[in-house]
Amino acid sequence: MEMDERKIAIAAAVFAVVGIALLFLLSETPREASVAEASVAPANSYLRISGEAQNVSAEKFYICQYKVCISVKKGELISAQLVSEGSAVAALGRVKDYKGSRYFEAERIEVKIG
Amino acid sequence: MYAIIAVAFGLLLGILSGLLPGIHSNTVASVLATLPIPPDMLSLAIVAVAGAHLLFQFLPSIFLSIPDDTVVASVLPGHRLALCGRGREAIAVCAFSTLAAAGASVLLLPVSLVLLPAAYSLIEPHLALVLAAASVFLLSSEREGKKIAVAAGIFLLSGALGVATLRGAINDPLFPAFCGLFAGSGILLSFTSRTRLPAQKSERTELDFLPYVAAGVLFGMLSDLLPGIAAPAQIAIFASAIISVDDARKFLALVASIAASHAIFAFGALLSIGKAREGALAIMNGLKPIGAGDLPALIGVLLLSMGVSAFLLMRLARHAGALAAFDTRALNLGVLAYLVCAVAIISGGVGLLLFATATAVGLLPPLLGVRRTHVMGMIIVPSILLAL
Repeated sequence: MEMDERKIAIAAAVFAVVGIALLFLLSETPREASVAEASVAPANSYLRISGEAQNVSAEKFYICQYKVCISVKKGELISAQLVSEGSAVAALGRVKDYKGSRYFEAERIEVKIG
Repeated sequence: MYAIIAVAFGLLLGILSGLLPGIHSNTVASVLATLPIPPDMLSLAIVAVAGAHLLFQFLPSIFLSIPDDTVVASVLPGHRLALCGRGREAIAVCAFSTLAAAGASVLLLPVSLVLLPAAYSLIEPHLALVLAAASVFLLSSEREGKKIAVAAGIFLLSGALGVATLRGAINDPLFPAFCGLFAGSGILLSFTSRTRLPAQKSERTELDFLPYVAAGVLFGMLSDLLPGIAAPAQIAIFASAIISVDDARKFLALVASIAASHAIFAFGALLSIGKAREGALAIMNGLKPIGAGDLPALIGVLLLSMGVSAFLLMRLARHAGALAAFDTRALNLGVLAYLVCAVAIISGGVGLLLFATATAVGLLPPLLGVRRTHVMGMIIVPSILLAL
């Protein structure tokens, strides 16, 4: 069978663009949720939660709302450095499951200052 | 006794994952983490997997999935040597470089505990800018204007794939994405191969690549500073801006030593800047936080695993003649079927769409004659967007 690299490349590029477009169409928009909802949400749920920051450490902190808390992993987020004990915080990200316990992997963190 | 069983089990799994294209040691580590094994034993097994995988991955990357060079514009350096009957020499260069770089990295590990935090504190506030500058450098390394434009297109397409991937509700999304980008596309291109491997010569080689091992150690340490720029072939491009990499053996020595030093200094990065730059290390740290007191045992097991694997790899490479006579299409077809099944089970239907799309993106660099590492835009572009 004769292979034409140009034709294969064009077909691959078209397939890639269509595939990426479909993946964007299938991607989720975040849902507002309480910390309690996030704590019991299915793993990988895409949520926006807010509350008070507690037990802030270098790698994670807890967002607490009505005495319910969930651990939030800071990752590489620079805005996470602004989180201090007691500050009002909103986080956008996904609920993750680790051996039965839930934590929140943030992809965006907003801190209300003042 | 349990520790010896854990290490032997990890070694065996690492050999298997290394021999199977597309199965990363991090995937094995994430599967192991679901088993009811005490964290200490699990850490030893995961480290043994990482060491064995690091060595055994060279065997399929040099002898299997070799595409037809009339279809594919760029053939990988290891494949090029295998096609000249120098595959065993390539394996010897990789094994020696890995062990030498690992030994040197262990000696330099205490230095990295001081250097990495200082360097990271300089980089961290400007992470988006540093990643963008590094990406521009990688793209411009293609040198010709047309190739730079093609590489930029592939980088942005991969970036869009990365953003779509991370926004999607896909379980373990990086698994189908990386399987598609590297394994799926490589296997599809290998079906174009019409040539069989020639008889392989002795593994005797000159040690003129030692300066490249030294450079690999240094660049492997630096690679633990940035997210998304950790693939040895990517780092090798930065290194080649400083030292001339004029033949395939030197390139392999550089890549192998970067991979080994990256694995060792990842422990230093975790302890000094709190960043787990290796997926396996992140899993281990999640099970039980790694402290300085754990280092001797973990590094010891890593070196032991590498040493045993290097010995076994060299023995296995002597039978490369059998690989030359073996039609790898059936094996590759089996691996492709296995990957499709694994993606379907782990990531579901959307995962399969992601796998197919990532495979299409992964086909583009070799077909269009630019470096495969530009597809790392899949990690770099989202990292830049997050750091803004």
